[in-house]
Amino acid sequence: MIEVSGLSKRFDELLAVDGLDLAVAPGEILGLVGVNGAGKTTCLRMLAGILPATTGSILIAGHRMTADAVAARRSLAFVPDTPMLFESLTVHEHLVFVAELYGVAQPAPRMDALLAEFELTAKRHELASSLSRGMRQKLALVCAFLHEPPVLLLDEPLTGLDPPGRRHTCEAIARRAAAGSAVIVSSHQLEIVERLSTRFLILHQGRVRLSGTLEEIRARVAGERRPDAGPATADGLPSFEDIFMHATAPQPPAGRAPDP
Amino acid sequence: MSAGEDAGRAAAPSHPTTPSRAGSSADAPSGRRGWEGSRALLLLMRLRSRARLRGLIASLRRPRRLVLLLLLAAMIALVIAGQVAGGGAGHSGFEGQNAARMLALLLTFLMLTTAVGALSQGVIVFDPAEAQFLFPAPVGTRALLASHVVVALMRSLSGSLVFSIFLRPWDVSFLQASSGYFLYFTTLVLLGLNLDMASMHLPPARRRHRGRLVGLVALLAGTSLLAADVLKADGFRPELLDRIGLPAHPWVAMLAADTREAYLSSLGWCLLIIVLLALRPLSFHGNLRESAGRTSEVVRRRLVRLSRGDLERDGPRRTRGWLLPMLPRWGGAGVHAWRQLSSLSRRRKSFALLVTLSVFSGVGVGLHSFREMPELMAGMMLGVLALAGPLYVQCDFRSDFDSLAWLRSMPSPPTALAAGQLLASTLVIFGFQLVLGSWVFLVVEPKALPLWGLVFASLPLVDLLQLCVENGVFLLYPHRLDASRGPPGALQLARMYALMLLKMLLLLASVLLVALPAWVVAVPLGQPVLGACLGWLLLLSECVLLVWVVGRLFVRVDPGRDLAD
Repeated sequence: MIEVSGLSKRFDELLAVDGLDLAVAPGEILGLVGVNGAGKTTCLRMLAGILPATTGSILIAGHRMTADAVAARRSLAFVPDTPMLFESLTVHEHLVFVAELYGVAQPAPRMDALLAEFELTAKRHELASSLSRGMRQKLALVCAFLHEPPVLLLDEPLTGLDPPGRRHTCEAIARRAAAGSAVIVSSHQLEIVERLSTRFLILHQGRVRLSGTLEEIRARVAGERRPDAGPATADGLPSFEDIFMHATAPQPPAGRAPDP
Repeated sequence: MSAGEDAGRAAAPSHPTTPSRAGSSADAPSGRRGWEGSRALLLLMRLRSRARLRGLIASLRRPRRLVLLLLLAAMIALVIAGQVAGGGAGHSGFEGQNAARMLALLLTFLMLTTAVGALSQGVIVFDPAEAQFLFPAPVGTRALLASHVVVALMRSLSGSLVFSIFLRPWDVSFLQASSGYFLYFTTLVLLGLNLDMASMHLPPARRRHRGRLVGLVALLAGTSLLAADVLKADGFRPELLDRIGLPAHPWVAMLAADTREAYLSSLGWCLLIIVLLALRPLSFHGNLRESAGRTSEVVRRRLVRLSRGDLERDGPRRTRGWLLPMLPRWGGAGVHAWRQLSSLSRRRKSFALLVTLSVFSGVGVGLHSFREMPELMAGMMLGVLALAGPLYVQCDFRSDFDSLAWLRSMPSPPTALAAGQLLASTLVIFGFQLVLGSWVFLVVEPKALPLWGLVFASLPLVDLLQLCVENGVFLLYPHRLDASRGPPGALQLARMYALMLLKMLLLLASVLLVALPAWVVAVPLGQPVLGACLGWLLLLSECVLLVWVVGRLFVRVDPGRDLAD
């Protein structure tokens, strides 16, 4: 559903993403994590067709982003880290606009269902400017889910949500994946990424440091770890946070052995 | 998005299409190449227009906004009445061609700034919501560009109406003026688009340099042309400005045309230019999203900075590490003054205009023709600095918009906090005045030394007085970062003028309160020294009172209204 190969992005002197390869199949949720400035948002923006890649290819639901961008975009939804809404439009008007934008046939029942699912029914006729941070985030998610895209790109989708909101949103994302969507979730909330994702990709300085299922990367890290390094889970395996810290730790200079 | 996004569609190999389960993707009409999503964009425009109208109607239910709207209507009526009276009094066209000359210079200047802005940064701007919804959506590049052009033309229309109201020649009909201005603004939009498109492929830094270079070359060319003409003509005459205003000639000719033939002829030229400029956008295949996204982000950040009173581009990334020595506590005022003074070195660009103004004033003083009236000149310069200073130096409450809630939580008495907040701006403005005043003193060697002493002693108090008024008005009506929470559209303009009027009235009242008793003692009672001392003491008392008032106003601000949830 999402196939990326050799993806790079250069901003003047800065190589933000360097030779990224990834594939996300229908039904999979890929947890994209990394420290600040690792290139996660740049990567998601390239996948969403907002930024052109310097090199590499992106295939979204069978459509090449360079050659068939409109069709590729029609198959995806992107939720950025900060929901930017049309402040003067109501919640309902946002949905009407998005339905028209993506050509959703008979959108009314789906709108009602989504508004109910995200507890926005009572806010239907409120202006976006009057919504709280969490409500704005929910509206951005509702807009993303409205056309039931086969590909979902979510950048920090849980920011600003209260604990019940976080749980409902996680369940909503999981339901979309179970229905066949390919999902990429980027977040700094490692415990949520761990719970939600079926596979993980740890990005560091624009490059893939680790990728695979939790078991795969755990096994890889367990083999590389020093015995005294960090906490471990009850079964003696490193936690996801521990894996993340290990993967994003500064690398010793080449040719020099690590300190004992 | 690559250059081949739209063009490549026909040539692309047939990839297996995965329709979305909403039944939307495959069913949606793809439209003509590059124009996909046009219907949705039209719907968005309709919804937003309706929302704007709804906002305007809703705002009329609030008495304060209704008053603002009435104020704006009164201002426009006043201007139109003045124009009608002027026309009735026999004024004709741009009298003596001097006004036409000035208009040509203004329009040329606007054209140059548009060109430099388009080359260096870009003019295709989408607001954050548009970028979020439209960039990753199945919207063709040309449809996206067309939506931007339509919005820009709608703004041009309102701009042309404003220009027609305020800058209309006496005997020219409103229709003629507005059509002339509309075609001029349309040309600006298309010129900006063309230059933006021509620079999209450049990296941002190179693009900025190129734009600045073009601006500098144009400025030098204009100055050289004028200097050469002045030398040739052995002196300055207004006609010499005609060559500089030449780029705006077709539009000025259309605005000032007094016969039908002249109007139609200039209209033809203007339309021809527009058609030529429209050819490139119609066949556009470029990388719009990345470039427009970058420009939009730059513009958004600048607006946020401006609303916070911070004109810095990005600010220095790190400091040299030295620390300003802490000021005495002064009941809590010292630490706030220290904070503002510490940030001064990081806000150098904010003072650029004040430095420029000071340098030009200083050079002006050096000119022979001004030496004959030194006191008048010095007074004028210091007065201009005193008036302009508080507008550009904003190291006070105005730069702390985001921190008002935090400031409220600090354990400082409101009056001490207000005094500390206002001290840094006062010191900076007075510093400029002191340097400039010393220069004037050296150059013109004035005779009335006591007068100079009084002026220098009063200047910091006058500055503080003004800053109190500026900050007081700001705390009464803090400018919201989120414009949607403020009044919509035209009401913002009305509010701006209303606040300016309020500030001027408050300043006038403050000055009269001091000047009247001092004048009574100095002139009718014949005690000038006593009058001056009384005036100074009254000014000091007024400043103390106003600082207290600013402190009280700070206490009653509700910062929660601007906090995110």
